[in-house]
Amino acid sequence: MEPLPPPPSDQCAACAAPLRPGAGFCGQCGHRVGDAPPPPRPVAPPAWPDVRYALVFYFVLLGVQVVTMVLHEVGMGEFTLLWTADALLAVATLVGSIKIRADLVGLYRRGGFRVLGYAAIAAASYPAFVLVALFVHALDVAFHVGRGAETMVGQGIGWNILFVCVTPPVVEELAFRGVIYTLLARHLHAWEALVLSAFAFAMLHLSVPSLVTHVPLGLYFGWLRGRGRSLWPGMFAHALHNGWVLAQDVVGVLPPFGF
Amino acid sequence: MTCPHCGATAAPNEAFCPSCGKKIGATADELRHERALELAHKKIETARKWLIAVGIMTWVSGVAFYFIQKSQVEDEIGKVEAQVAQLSPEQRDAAFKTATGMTYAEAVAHDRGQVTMLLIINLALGVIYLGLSFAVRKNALVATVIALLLFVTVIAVSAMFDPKTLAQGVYLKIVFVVALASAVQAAVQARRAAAA
Repeated sequence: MEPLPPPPSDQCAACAAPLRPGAGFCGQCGHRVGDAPPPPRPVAPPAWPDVRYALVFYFVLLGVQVVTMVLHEVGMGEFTLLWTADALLAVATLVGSIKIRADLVGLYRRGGFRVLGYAAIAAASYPAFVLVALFVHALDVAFHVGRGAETMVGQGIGWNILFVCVTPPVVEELAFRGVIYTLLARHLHAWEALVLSAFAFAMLHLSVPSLVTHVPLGLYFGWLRGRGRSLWPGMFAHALHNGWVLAQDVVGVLPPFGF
Repeated sequence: MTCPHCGATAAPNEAFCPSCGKKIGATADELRHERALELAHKKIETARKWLIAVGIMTWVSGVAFYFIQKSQVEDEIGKVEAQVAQLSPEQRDAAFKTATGMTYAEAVAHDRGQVTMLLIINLALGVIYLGLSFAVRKNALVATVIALLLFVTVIAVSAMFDPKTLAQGVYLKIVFVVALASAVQAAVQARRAAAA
């Protein structure tokens, strides 16, 4: 094998800028002529593609919500609509999560908290629900807009539990605390990813008044995700919260407040 | 150009003295970097001004819409009142219960309440947009992302209630969305440039 030819001496070994004859240093980068080239510096991956992906992902979910509402307007039955909406949201979320599947699998592998942590989440779920219910009640008192039952009581308790306490926590945690939070946290501070994912979560409920309740809820679920680096605690808290809402609609669990 | 450290002559575009190796000017990278930051800040500032404009427009249109809707709802209530005038209160409430699930008084309060709530929503949205325009100077990335998501979501929600709203000021909406999206991109790049 022939030895490699020496690098041309009229070019800087570090930045390849042309050298002036007789110069001791490169005029462009300050590298000393004759020294070995420095090791290449590691380059951080660009942030914009990930942020853009998170934004597009949000807009796709928003589009799914709009399609659901249009289906409601054209008179699709309530039960058909409910599972169609959930299925569309789940498919969109799953497709969107393929890109960062390795990170997401890691979030499912960890339990997040020990038994005591989960017990604390369970204990906090009732007061959290009461605060949300109080706000909804206050809106009704002020504007007579109704409490708008979120649940579909009347289809059998099994379906109610599935579509209120199981699918929304699983899909929404994956979408907001999974895809959006994870993508943003790669490049932003953790608190920024937390705040943005909470706003995305709240806004996708398509109601300005509910921002008041859903931004704090999103912050809480996101905090659980950041703290435990797992999606399970958020799913648990979310399922319990929705469970209280369902229980309120079915049997009423807020007697002290005169609802 | 002469080197202030050793007195050797350097070409005007050289960032390091070819004789002593000390830094004597901005490198090509630094100049590019500076220009990129300047451009990013300009885009962010444009988005900030748009946010102020959108906040004020939301207030003005919210108040105008309130008075239009209010007179429509009062007209409607007047018409219904004339229709049910000959019914007894019990008959009236029974008819309303079957049609709307509410008593007459509840239905009237509901219709009036919705108009008031929409006014408050629009006033609150205006406050949020103006608040975000201040927040842009503190944290451009977070503020512009929230503004972009909020603006597009409000367009979508309004269109769901009334598809005609989609066409209202459609060019203005497009311009604002593009300005906000490019401000988000600029904020991401400015942050990356600042970290480098």
